[in-house]
This record gives sequence, C-alpha cells and structure tokens, in this order.
Amino acid sequence: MLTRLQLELAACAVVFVLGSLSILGALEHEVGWAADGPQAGYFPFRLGIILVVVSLAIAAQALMMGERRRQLVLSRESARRMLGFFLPLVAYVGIAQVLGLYIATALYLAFVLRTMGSHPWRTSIAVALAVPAVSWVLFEVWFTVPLLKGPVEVWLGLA
Amino acid sequence: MGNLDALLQGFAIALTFEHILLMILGVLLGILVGVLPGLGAPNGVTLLLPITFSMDPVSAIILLTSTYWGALFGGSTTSILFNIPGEPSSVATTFDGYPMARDGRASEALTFAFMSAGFGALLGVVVITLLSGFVTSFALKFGPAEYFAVYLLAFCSFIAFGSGSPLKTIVSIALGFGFATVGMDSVSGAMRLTFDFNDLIRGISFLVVVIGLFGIGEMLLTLEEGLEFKGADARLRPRAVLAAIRRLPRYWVTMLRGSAVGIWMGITPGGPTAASFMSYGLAKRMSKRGAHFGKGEPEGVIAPETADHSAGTAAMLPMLALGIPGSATAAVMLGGLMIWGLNPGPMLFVERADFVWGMIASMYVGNVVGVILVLATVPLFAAMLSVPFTIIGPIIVTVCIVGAWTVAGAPFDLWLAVVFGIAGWAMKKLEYPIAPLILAMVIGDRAEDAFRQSMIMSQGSITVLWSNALVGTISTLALLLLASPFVTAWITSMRARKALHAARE
Amino acid sequence: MSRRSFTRAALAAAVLTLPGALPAAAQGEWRPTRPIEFVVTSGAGGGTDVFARTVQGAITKHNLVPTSIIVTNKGAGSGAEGFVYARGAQGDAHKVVFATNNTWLLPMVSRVAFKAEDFRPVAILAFDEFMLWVKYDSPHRTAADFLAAARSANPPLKMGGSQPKDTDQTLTSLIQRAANVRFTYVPFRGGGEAGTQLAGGHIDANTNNPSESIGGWRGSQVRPVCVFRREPMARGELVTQTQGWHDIPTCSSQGIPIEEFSMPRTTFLPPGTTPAQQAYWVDVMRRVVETPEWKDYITRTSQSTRFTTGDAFSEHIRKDVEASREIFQAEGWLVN
Repeated sequence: MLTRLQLELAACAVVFVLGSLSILGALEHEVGWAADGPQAGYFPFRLGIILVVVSLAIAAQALMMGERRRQLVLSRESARRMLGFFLPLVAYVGIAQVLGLYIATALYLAFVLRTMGSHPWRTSIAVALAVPAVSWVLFEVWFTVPLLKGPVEVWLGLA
Repeated sequence: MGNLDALLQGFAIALTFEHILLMILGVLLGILVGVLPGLGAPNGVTLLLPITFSMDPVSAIILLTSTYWGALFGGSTTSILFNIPGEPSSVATTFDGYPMARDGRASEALTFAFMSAGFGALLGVVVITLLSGFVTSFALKFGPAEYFAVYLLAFCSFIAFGSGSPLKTIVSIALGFGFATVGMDSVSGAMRLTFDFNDLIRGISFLVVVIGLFGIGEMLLTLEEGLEFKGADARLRPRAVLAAIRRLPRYWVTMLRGSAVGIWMGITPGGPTAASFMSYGLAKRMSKRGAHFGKGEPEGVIAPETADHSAGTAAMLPMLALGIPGSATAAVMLGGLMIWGLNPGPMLFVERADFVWGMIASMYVGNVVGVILVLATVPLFAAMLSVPFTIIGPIIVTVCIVGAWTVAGAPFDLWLAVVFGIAGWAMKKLEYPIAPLILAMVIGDRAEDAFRQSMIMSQGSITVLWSNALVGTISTLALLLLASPFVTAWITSMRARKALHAARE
Repeated sequence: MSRRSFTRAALAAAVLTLPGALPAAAQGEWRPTRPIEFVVTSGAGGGTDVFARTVQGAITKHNLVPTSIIVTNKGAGSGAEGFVYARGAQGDAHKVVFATNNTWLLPMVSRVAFKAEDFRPVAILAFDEFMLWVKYDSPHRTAADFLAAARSANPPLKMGGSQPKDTDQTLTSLIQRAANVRFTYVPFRGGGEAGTQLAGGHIDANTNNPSESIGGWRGSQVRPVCVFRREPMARGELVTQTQGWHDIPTCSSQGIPIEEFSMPRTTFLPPGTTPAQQAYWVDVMRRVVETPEWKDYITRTSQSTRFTTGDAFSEHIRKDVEASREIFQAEGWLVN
C-alpha cells in the first residue's frame, strides 16, 4: 500500500517544509553575525538551510535506491490496524478539546475496549470509569494539577 | 577531617524516626510522579512545597530531595518496561532497557538500572562530602564560554555518524536544534518561529515530543506489526535479581565512568539528562561490546543510569553553595530555600551546617531507601503486564495523552503529541535516528544561549572558546571526540590497505 | 469571622477604594464558588512564584477565601504564556494573575497577543529594590569608582542581568544615559545566574534585587555599592559581620542620578471581570499584607510593602509606561 519510496519522499517533503518555515521565521530577525555575535535569526536561518538542502539530498538518494524503493513499508492489512488505532486516538484528542480529558478518556476507553479489544461491555465500562476516577484522585486531589475540563465538569460544579 | 565530622553530625540529624518516615513518603511519591510520563520530579517537589512551609528546613529538604530520588528511580521503570521514559533523564535508559525487557530480561534490566543508579547516587554524595570546598570554587570558574564547551562536549561524545545514513542523522540533529529555538529568544527577547501563534510562545516542549515519539510512536509500531504486547515478562524473579546483583561488579568500569560523567555534568550545569546521553555515548564508544548497544546490552542500561543519578546528587552542591539550579527540580528547591528563610551561598555551610550536612547525610540514606522501595514496586508493574494488551494498551495511550497535558496545561500539546507519534513511527520505519533529535532539543536552547552570551562578552570573537586553560581543554576534548570516529575509521581502513599491500608483496 | 461580616468588609473595602465602582459593587457581592487558580507569570522557583506561593500560604492559613487554591506556573516567554492564558479566561474571577511590571512592559518590547489594558488591576502588594553589585574583591569601592572605571574601559565593562529588555536591562540603560557611560549588557536566565557569574568574575557588575544576592554578600563573593532608592533602606539587622542593608548609600548620592527604580509585585484579574470581583480580591490582598507570613516574607526578601490599588495603581502604570516608552524608544526596543 505504501512503498518505501513514497514514505521517504513524504518524510523529505515534511523536512523540506519545516526547513523553509525555519528560514522564513528567521528572516523576521537579523540573521547575521554582528559585533555582539550571532543574532536571533542566525541559527534558525542556517538550520533551515541545512534541512532544506539535506531533505533534497535524501530525496535524491531515495529516488536512486534501486529495488529497495518498491519495498512495502505498510501493507493494507497493517494500515487498517493502524488506522483502527489512530482514528480513535484523533477522536479522543478532538473530544478532549471540547469536553475535557475526563469524559474523553472514558469515551475513548469504552469504545476501544469494546470494539478493538472485543471485551464485554461490563469490562469496558468498568475500565472506562475507573481510569478517570483514579486520574481525578491522583491529579486533582493529590497533585493539585488540574486536568483539562469541559462544560460538564463546570455544570457539575467541579471546575 | 572537618567534613567527615560534620557528616557524622549530619547523620545524627538525619537519622531520626520522623526523617526516615519522610524519606519513605518522599521516595514513594517520587516513584509515582516518576512513573507517570509528563509529570516529573519538578511537579512532585512543587506539590510538596506548600506542605513544607510549616516544617523545619531540614525535614523539608529531606522530604523534597527524597521525592527527587524517587522520581529518578521511577522514571527508569516505564522506560524499561514500556519504552516510555517517565522522566526526561531516563530517555537514554530506553535504548537498551526496552530491548532487554522484550527479550524477557525485564527483572535483570530493572535490577541493573536501580542498583547502578543507587551506586551513582552514592558516589555523587561521596564526592560532595569530601570535596565540597573545592567543588564550589571550581563551579564558580564556569562562565558562558565554559557552559557552552560543556554542552559541546556532551553533544560530541554522544553523536556518532557510525551506523545508518549520516544525512538522516543530520536531519535529526537539525530538527532537534530547530525545535529548541521556537519561542522567546532569551538573549534578544524576540519571539522566534512562533508566527504569531500563541501556542508556540511556550516553545515546543521536549517532554511532549518524547511522549509522542516514544509513547505513541511505539504504540503505532506495535499495532502495525500486529503483535501482542512485546514488553511482557516483568515478573520479579528473585533469582534473576540476585544474579544481576552478583554480575553488577563486573561492570565496574562502566559504573565508574558513568558516575564520573554524571558528577562532572552535575557540578558544571550540564544536568542529568545530558549526562545520561553523554555517558551512554562514551560507553558505546569505549566498551568492547559497543556494537551490541541498542540491542539489549546491560552496559547500555548501567551507563546512563549511573550518570543520571550521580548528576542529580552532585548538582545539589552548586545549588546550596552558589544558588545554581542544576535542574528544573533544583530550581523549585531553591524557591523553597527562600521561603524557609535560607539563603543559598557559601555561608549556608557555616551558619546552617545542621541543614547542609543533615541534607547530605539524608542523601546517603534516602538513596538506599530508594533502591529498596523501587525494587519493591516491580511486582506491581509485573501484575500490570499480565493484564491483556487490549486493556493495558489503551490505558497507556490515555496516560500518554494526560501526561502531554500535565507538561504545560495546554490543549494544543495533545495534538502535538499525536503528530510526534506519527513522526516517531515514520522515523523508525525510515531509520532516522531519534536519539540525536532528543539530545539536540535538551541542550540546544541552553547551548545557544551560552554561546551567544559568550559572543556578547568577547565582542563576537570565537577565540573565547580557547581563552583559558579550562575552556580550551573542554573545547579541544569535544572536537577530538567528534573527530575520533572518523579517525578510527580512517586508521582501520589504512591498516586494512597496508595488510592488503603486505599480503601482495 | 462569619461569612456575612466578611462580605460586608469586602463591600466596605470596595466603597473605600473604588468610589467610581460603587454602583456595580452594590449590585451584588461576589465570592468564589469554585477552586481558584493563581496564574504565575514566572517559572517555578522564580521571584513571582515565591510571591504567589507566599500569598497562597497566607490565604490558606488564615482562611481568607472559601475555596481551595492551586498555583500554576506559566512563565514561558518572560511570562507571556501566563498573560495569554489569563486573557483567554474571559470573565473568570477564579483566576488571579501574579506578575511584576511585565504586565505593561512586556507588550511594549515584545510581539505578544495581549495588552496591559486587557487585565483588571487588583493591587500592588510590594516593591522589590534594585542595587548595583560588584565582585567582593573588586577594586571599585564606591559607585563613583565604578563609573570612573566604566568610562575609561575598553572594551566596555560587562553588566549582567536577567531576561533581555526587562527591568535589569532597562536599569542598565538608565545608568548609561544618566551617567554617560557604556556597558556591554549580558542577559542571563535570572538574577541568581547573574549573581553567580559576578561571583565568578565573568561579568563586572549586575543590578540584582537584595534577595537575589544576599547569600553571595554574606559569603564574601559579591558586594553592593549602592541602592536605587530615594533614601537608604530602613535600619534592620546586620547582613554581614559589619554591615546591613541600611549601610548601603543611595546611587543618586554616588553620582548616578537615578532617584528611584523598583519593581512592583502585582496582581491582576482576567478581562471581562466585574468591579465587584475586583473589590473582593482587593480586600483579600489587603488582608494578606497584614498577615505575619507576609511580613516575614517581606523582611526576608528585603522588599517593602506599599499596598497600592485603584486609581493609584492605574496612575503607577500610566507613569511607568510613559517613562519606559522614552527609554525603549531611545534603545530601539519598542515594537508597538
């Protein structure tokens, strides 16, 4: 599904973009070496150039890789498994932004345990309730580190 | 000897029932924060700070330092069992600790980690006990140029372009340094690479990156390969533990080298995290078994652990005597000293000898307590590992995400952890080395500051790195270390060529 | 104290301090119903952190508020992190920002997404002093000696301090202008670090607060030559064998014509909070400065309590912005 060459090129593209951003960002400042040494943009500018140049070089290497380029780094089967893990994770983080970490954690655990782990509802819900409860005691009560809370906690008067 | 007398008096102060209870409490709490990624020793110590307001300073510092030791011990547990570093300074422990655990040698790896950490800690305390006066005046010699040279030395001793693609190593290093520049530039005060995006003012947190690259990245790899949980067997087999303890003296060279690196990095402001990387890098280069590093080599666990802990303990001296915070945790403790009405400085050793030596004595006892307690927690983790992966896996994910939140309390960091999770997976797949990126992030920020401060002071002249014997020696050593792999490679190839010649003739 | 008389006192305080806000305050008293967050605009262990934790300790000990308090450190970007965070907590009086003058000075020199006017000022609780420090064995006995040396030095003498374009560097440029000298300013990560660098002889002077260098002074590593104050500090205990803070002459008497330079310890509420909520917190802080814990903190850190609130606080900000704008302009630091 995904060959080595494709993944190599994708990685190079990401590095290239990060490098370009670093150059652009550095240009908002002085990028030279003044009487008091290197200025704010000096290092980001040069790091950006290194990233851009090296990403192109790696891309070139990848294109000349020969047979290895067609090597499969991700089979359809594996990709499905990974997405099965990854999509709930993204949903978890997305829901956490709105509803807070406690509810998102409970929903995530209940869903993943039930669908991917095929555990009975009983187990899934028990774990889904236990983990946020333990987190509450650990973080809010013991460590007084507030976790991300949403409208439900505010409504319950807990935040 | 004056110091030894003082130490004995310190023991008399530290060894009361109440203080030992405080040590146990502190160590247990520390292990807990140490195990949780994101939450670390600074959190544990900050949490206890208000409680200490009403305590006498000796009890207070015993509680806080014990928490620190506990966190240092706890951090290695998750590194070894789950490949998720619980503390920044235990990142290097994952390199060989996790492979050992995967081979079913978890008890052995944990024992090596805890015992060697305890050894490093004790050696660190011995050095502060015997050399307190010398160490203090030595630490004062460090200006910005010397700071920079220390970071350079740590960097050069870890980075090696041995295996894999050198280009990819360069990308990894440049990305690490690049991420470290995001946020406010502490020399000019300018906002760099933030693009007016509020969530970047904080910079990119190294802890969130570690949670993403290691924790979530590891999950993606595990699932992609469709394997059941790999970390598995952590049952604490008393026999394996004893066997490991018996084998430990065999690694005395690694332990001594690791402690020396750690003490060096603790007294100079290099810090425990950079110390563990440096020690790992040096061990890999100098060990006969260097080629086996990364595949589950005990030396690869012992080296970073001794350095990490000896740096942690040794850093307490510059903190007390000069007010230099060697780590984030020490910075919080310095705040505590202020609140308790103590002023860090040389006079603290004279006026409040009870406090200083009580604390130093407690470091001996506290670390022994730490080793015992942390070994006792292992069965707990073993029990956790016997839970099916389809339950423990998702729980680890939630621990990672919650951990990413606790770093700075920012919703944005959760996304960052997910993105770095994908990055971690891709880097493994494409053989981009991850460790150089982490090290570059750890030292990048401070190294750039130190470099630019020294350039301001020298009016932009790089010769400041050779302006006196101290800084000149460190800088030269660093460059030699950087060059040494190339030189060895060159010599080997020359020898091979000569041998070939000889064979022809 | 019963809750009723407590809120009445709060109301009375509001009436006394905020005549303009009377109608709003009268509309309804306010008191916290949820856990309170103290947002600290410095890292853990920093000056603002110790300030906030002292206030937290005093409040908890004397039950000055009905709910629990947690302290969070948001010190990245010289505190910008904390201000941006508090700005996002629109109308939430359960969050109190602890700061210095960085609330109004930071937006002038750095591109940050907040303005001083965004926040509702509560009170200045104290002022921290600044002193000129040299290495203990430095040949410069007085500020005048030091200035003379600075005038003829080439390359210029090195002055250290905390974050760039913050109080230390501002004071350094004030000295440069007032005494017609030139220094090389080296920014470190905080006063503590600047103090150690001075003790090691890597820099020639710094402008630390008393509490940042007291350990070094007692340990014969560094020594104060003058204090940036109208008159010497109040007579207190000896710090070293022979000298106390009160023995240090003022800088203006030593040929550096800077009458006064100090750093306020300030508290603010997020935007969109009401005068009633402000009045509540003004009252709490007024009680805090009466507690023995607070007085102890002030003595230990050699600061001075000058409780300033309401119009006086606004006036302080206005004046400081005006004076600072002139310096920042001359130094080319202004971004807004």
